[in-house]
Amino acid sequence: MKTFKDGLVFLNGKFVKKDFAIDNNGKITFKISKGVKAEDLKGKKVIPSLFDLHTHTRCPGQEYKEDFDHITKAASHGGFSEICAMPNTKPVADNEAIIDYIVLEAEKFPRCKIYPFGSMTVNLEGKKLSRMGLMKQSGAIGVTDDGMCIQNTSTMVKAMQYASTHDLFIMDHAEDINLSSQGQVNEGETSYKMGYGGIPEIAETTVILRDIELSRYLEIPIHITHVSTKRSAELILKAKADGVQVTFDITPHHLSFTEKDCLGFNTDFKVNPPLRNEKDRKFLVDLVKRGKVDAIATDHAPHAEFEKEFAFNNAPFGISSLDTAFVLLYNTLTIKAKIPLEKWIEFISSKPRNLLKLPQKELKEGVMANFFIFDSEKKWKINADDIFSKGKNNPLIGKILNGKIINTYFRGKKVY
Amino acid sequence: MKKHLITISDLSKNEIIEIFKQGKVFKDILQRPIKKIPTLRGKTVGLLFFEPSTRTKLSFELAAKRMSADTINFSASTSSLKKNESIKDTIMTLEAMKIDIYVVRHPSPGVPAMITKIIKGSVINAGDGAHAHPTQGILDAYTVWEKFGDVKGLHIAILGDVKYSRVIRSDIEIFLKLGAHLTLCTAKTLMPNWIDPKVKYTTNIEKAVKDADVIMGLRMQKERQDSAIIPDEIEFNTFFGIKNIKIANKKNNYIVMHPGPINRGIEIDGDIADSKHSVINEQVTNGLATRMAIFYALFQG
Amino acid sequence: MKAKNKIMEKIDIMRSLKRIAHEIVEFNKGTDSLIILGIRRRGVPLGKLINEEIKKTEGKSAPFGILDITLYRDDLSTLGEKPKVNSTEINFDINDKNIVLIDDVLYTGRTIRSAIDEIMDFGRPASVQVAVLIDRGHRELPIFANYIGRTIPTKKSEIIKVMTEETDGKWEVWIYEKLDK
Repeated sequence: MKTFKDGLVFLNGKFVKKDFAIDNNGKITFKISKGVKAEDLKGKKVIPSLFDLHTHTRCPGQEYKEDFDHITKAASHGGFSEICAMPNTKPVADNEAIIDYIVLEAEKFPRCKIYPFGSMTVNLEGKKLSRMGLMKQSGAIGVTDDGMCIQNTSTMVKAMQYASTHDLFIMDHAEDINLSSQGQVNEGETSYKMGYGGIPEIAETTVILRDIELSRYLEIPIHITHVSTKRSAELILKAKADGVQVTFDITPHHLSFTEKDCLGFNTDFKVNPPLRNEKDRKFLVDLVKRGKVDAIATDHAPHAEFEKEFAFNNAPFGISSLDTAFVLLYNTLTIKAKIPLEKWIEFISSKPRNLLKLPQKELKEGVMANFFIFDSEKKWKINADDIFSKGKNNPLIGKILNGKIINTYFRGKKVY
Repeated sequence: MKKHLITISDLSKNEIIEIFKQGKVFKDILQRPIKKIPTLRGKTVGLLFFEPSTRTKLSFELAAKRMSADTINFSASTSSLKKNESIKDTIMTLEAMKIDIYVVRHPSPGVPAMITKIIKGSVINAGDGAHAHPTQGILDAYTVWEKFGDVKGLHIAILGDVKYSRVIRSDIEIFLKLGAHLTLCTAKTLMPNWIDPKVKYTTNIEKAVKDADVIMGLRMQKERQDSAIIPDEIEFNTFFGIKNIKIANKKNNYIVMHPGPINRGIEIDGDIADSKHSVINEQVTNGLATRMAIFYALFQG
Repeated sequence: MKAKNKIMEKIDIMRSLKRIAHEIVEFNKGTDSLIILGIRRRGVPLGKLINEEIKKTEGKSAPFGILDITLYRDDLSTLGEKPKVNSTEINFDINDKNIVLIDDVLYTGRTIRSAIDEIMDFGRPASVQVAVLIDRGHRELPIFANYIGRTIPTKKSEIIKVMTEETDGKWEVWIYEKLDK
């Protein structure tokens, strides 16, 4: 039995001052005996653990970028109890053996739960369908060709139909590769000033339009991940209003940064889709404020230090964001945009769980303790050592942020 | 002046004019029987060319040698430097040899700026991808300044491959800083998605050159034709090449510039490149003089 | 910096320059192979005056040029602020000519060393001579002046300031004392 007192516990959408304990079975209880020794959480927030829809776990095959030990540490450090592993591993998670491997290996690090996604096509080549049914049997929770968006519309139709046959969640990274392949940053002032090819907005919107039309025509739900522009979001909102079963998520970095951050050639700001302009960023933040998004997902993409050094165009895309995603969101959404934490926390916890039809994590009597403790008053400078992920490609290193996660509990045990 | 020269924005307007004035002194020195001065004696200039560029490298090398600096050359195609970390290793190796000024050409924008973070000396950007080529911008603006006495208020028309040009970015920046009016003229496929709002754009070459005091051509890369950007050289030359027929009605005191090497019959016709209006060869001399002035300005004890 | 003494008035300076001009033409036997080079900045107005005096006595002046020795200085790397470079103006052949370098003060000898180096880059003169208004001693190189306006023993902590009409609005020579910071 471990008792906590005076914390602000997130219950039914509100923070209320309440004492609670983790019993010997790792479950939450509010029945506390008087006078026991308790951890003082005065002023600190107790929040049910977070859910990430979009994590590049890199293993198997790219353990030099990330491994299960580091990714589970990073997740628990970031307040997550569940993360979804993207299939662009080496070899690609396009068959049940890889899914089995991920599920079994991840269980060796009981700091968070890893839900693997399978690919839609073999080797992410956009040609032959993956064994989606068998992967689902092995534990795949959804399918995506994330990062290698299926270009051939006919193949996409078949992949969606087949995924739907097995009732798999379909996530698409919308990108017309012919329009984006020469690009390093958002097309416009920044690409001009940096002298790099641009990734135009239309590389994203044309494929979103395609996906919306496919979803409407096939009557199969589709989820568009990491929507980065105002126009993209507008297209999706309009389709939703028309009754199309399309959902979408936004990343913490697209909510927080803009293309201008790339001007210093800092490769840690190089992401795909690229950071867009302030107009886009503001619109996305406003969507969160209005509760119009379906999820916030990290797109955690760790890379080795040497890969992100020097030449911007040679550096791979991605931010190692799992450790700091929640804290960054707190700074962007709550401190800067004045959106209360209670309003947006669901986008990175209950809403994505609903999308995947997974059980919720709540602070309720008798449920397994999965929560983290957040000190919203603490100001701290992020050092490389504070990034538990193997990938140190996080542009927040060296920056001062407000709010720090103090501890994380997973299945009743302190994991951070 | 700042310690490094990466883009034109590292220079104030006054610093640019000062480089021009000093450049004139160095240009005089280049007319002497003995063209060498001892100013940088004992200093070492490292010429790091990660992609071939014979002209720029010769100009920097000669500028350094005219000033009695020692030069060392490191040339490598990027193919032999595929892994990023070897750029860093290369620099650290040279750093151990005590280089005072690095002159860096690299196909990737941003690499010279990155190098400034790991070395003690100064870095001069000798062209990084399509990002910047500040010394070309300086020599181009110097050429105009010397010819007209001032750059302010002049009309400059620039034609050719704008989208992929490193020269254009530095030229636009320096000419705007010095108060010139700029008009670009090229096919829409060769225009970037964004351009400084002070710069005019037209697809009509007659309009572009009508009031121009300076007509500048940019080198057209041959590979553009293969990637559905322009149909072919003949079509490009017909509509956007600097041709006599297009500039027939001009006033008499205009000049024609080109950063070289020129593609005769593509972005500029041979008769114009060889005409009395052409200052293309003088640009080369001016490049040497202004680079000497830049070395002098950057050289720290 | 504190002004200590005015050591020459305009009239003194003019007398010295007149004598130096006479000595130069006497030694060089007229102006036929003579060249006067003023060292920037204050050697230039001094040189011009000397050349005028030469014209008065000989009926014609010598070719006059200007040397800017900035790029030949041996202390560039120790200077914080880089001095601006001005042009050197020698628009005539110096081969086999007798060159007289004109400067305001001869002190360490390093300026003259730089000037000789620069001259050698223009050709091979028959001889190089030096004329200065003030020789204040403390030579660091084996250099001497052939023509001297006035020899003034100084302390190293002192500064000799030659003022010319062109650069300072008046002709005077002063001794200043460097003040401790």
